[in-house]
Amino acid sequence: MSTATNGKRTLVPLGPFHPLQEEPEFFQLWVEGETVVDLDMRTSYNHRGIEELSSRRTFDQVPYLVERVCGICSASHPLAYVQAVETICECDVPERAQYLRTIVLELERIHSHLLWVGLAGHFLGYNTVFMWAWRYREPIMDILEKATGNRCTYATAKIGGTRRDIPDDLMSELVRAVDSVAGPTEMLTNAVLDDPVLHARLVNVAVLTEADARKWCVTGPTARGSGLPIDVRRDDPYCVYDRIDWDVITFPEGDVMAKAKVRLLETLEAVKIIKQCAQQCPSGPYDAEVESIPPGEAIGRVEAPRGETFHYVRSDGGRCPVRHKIRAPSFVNVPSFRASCIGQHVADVTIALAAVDPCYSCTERMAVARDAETGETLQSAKALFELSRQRTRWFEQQLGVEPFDQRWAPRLRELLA
Amino acid sequence: MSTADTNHGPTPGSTEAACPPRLAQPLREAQAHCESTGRRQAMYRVPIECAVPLLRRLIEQEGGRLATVTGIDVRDGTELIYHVCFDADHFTANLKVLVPRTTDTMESITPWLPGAEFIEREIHDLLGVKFLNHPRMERLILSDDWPEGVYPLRRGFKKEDGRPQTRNPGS
Repeated sequence: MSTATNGKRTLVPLGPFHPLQEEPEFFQLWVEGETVVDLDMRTSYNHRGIEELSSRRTFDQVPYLVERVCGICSASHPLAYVQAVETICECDVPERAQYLRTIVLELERIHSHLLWVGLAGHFLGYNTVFMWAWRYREPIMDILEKATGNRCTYATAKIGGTRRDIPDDLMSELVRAVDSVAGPTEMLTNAVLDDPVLHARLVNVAVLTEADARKWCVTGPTARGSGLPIDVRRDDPYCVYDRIDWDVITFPEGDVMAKAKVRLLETLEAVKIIKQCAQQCPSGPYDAEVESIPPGEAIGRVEAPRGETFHYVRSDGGRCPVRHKIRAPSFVNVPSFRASCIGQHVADVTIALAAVDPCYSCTERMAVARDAETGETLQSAKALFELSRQRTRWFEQQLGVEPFDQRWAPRLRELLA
Repeated sequence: MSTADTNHGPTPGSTEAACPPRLAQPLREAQAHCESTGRRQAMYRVPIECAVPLLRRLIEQEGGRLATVTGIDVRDGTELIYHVCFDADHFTANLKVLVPRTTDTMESITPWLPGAEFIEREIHDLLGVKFLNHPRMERLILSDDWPEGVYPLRRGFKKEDGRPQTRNPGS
């Protein structure tokens, strides 16, 4: 501890653009010596107004829009919306579609949790964990690409079913890919549990008590790591979660370690769920015709990797939703830092802030920078593109390779026109 | 434009539909009127003066969890929908409150539920509802140079209104 504090506070800014964080967020940490005594946060640097945009799209176009709310939860957001609309029009979704939806949701959970484990390792200076976890995640990304056509933004959920089928031969490949993740995840889990350095950095760090978890309305692994046994998959069962054998993982400690354990064990549960789905998945149609959406309103909830994704849709019988409200899990998880980070060492705060797996892309749903005097746009897409090309040219000179522009100039000109 | 008079579902008009029995009494006492029910959810209309005591009772005594609050610009004001999830009961109660345009104010729930801080600040930014007794009624979503009194989620909002205040009007 510093001896030169004398009760004086120092402001340590983290963000809005910080090398450790992938997305813009701004934390102001007031520290006395090494201890954080107060904290303030500011988000919404990237608010994109998706809720408003959504009311100008037809009911069928909205899933395409909302899966772009977040690159990682791109199965959860459209499904939450689709479920709300399906509640309004009281349509029955075919069995097979329910299984296919579950498979994509759980594949998403595996890749998201492994991504977090990697990032957590990176935040702690354990880059080996980062590289291993991301390597194990890769077969999942590949199988997602094969099954849905893309590594993210899967475009599977549609009102009444799914957009495409997963053929049976791909199903067995899918099971093999998922199996390939189970062993390494168990190994990672044991390595994390046994590592004395990780214990020292994670156990009893940034504890969020169960009472605080309730008061701050947190969801997902953040809540389950604080002993709050809430999981939408069990509490408001959708898809086929009520027909499959799986467990809600809860740990009472509330520290960063508990959240890490929840995510690692949930990855193994997801493997279990996918294998059962692949086995039980009935043949038959995977899409039901929905002709129109009657007037009405409903909520749709999905347990995304970060917690409950909450959508509210109101219809007046027209082609577009009248109101579509989106609440991403990080919007309720991030404010809980005030309960968990105050009193912590400043060096522990980075991992504590990472512990809820914050996702700002979700939470803020384009910003345009304008000159305050003239109102003109400061950086156009073209100008930003040119900046990145300058950088590429510099690298090419340094490496002595044939310039990208010469190889691709005609095609690029076409794209930029 | 749709107002809240949308009805669907099996038994609109009663407070009991799809709802755990222990919630019936608090809902009745707060004059909650069930407008519609759906898959493990129900919509209730609650008079504005009964809303906050009801929410407090549901959250602090009955094990409710505030998922979020939706704000909608309707003809006579702003409609707030408090979504309270009863996870163990597999039920979500959605409490609708109309905040009249004449006052645009609503009692804050943040003093006893810190998790509502961001939610209420977001609604204040986007729809212009002021929350009384909120500890920090400051901007969360809008930038600091956004003009005062312009709310982007209200109907009739024009993009030009949202330009920074210091903008040279001649340009």
